[in-house]
Amino acid sequence: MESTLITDEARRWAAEPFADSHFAVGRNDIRRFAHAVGALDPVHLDVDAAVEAGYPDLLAPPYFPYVVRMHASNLTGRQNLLADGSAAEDVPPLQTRRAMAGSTEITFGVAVFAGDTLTLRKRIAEIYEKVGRSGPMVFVKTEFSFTNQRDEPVMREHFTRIYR
Amino acid sequence: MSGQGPAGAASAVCVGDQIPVQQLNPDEIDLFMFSAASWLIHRVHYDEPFTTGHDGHNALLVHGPLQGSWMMQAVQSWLGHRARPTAISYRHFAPAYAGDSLECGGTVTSVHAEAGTFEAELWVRRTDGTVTTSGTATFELPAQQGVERQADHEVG
Repeated sequence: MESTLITDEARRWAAEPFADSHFAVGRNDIRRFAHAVGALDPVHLDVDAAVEAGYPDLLAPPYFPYVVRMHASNLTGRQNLLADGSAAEDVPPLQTRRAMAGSTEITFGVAVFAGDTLTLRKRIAEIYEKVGRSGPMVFVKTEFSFTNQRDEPVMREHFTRIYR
Repeated sequence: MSGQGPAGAASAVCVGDQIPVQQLNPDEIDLFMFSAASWLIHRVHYDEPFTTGHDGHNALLVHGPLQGSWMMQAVQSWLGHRARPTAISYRHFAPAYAGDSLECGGTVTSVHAEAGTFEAELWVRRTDGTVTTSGTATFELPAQQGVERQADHEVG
């Protein structure tokens, strides 16, 4: 299929590597996320309860690495945010700017605890075009791979955003 | 509510089990908490004139990743924090808005006793039945928590 929306500029953007980022997981990072998603088991909130349950420190809820990937994009200077609040580095240079959440595929490795340091490796896995009922759409699939300080895999996510 | 949580989930997980439905009524405070916890700055979660005008939505949008977290949390509210997901995939089918009455639940679709895992279909929907997000997940359980492992039989 001949691409009508994906320009050479967009292809160059997709090929550009992202720098690895590191995140030291604090207890309050876990507590904030736990309250935000309704994970109210004390193992996420109270260190004594976590230790009692056999954990080294507060246990992060499963999707906590999402916090790490958002910080990697958004914990940046104000000038690097677009008018809609998105981090500029995450938005492909396309004519179409209406974005929709698409799909998420995640595999989990070892659990995350307060005191861990997570490393995020991020890349654009795929950029492709499809024609839907409402016209052409661009799919951007980003891969996020998280490891901990022992280089153990924590989570791998493929997140697809749709632009039309 | 008997028999739930980490201490009480001794009965085996079976195909067809319904994950207890969580009632969710997200408002601006819930959206703020998720945006703040993840340092997510996108306007569609706090700027209503922008969201309804520029993006043509009915109201502020509930984050997709928050809905994904609710689905995992629904299983952990049922079986406890030791029931950990090993994989999940989901798609968003319709927007969920601040002020919507939502519910989150699912069904156990298969149990793999030798691996100590089970699979479930999970969903978030409006109370009118419109599914906003749904997908499938695999969870693992400690042996004493229901899915008996083959290794335990060999040792025992």
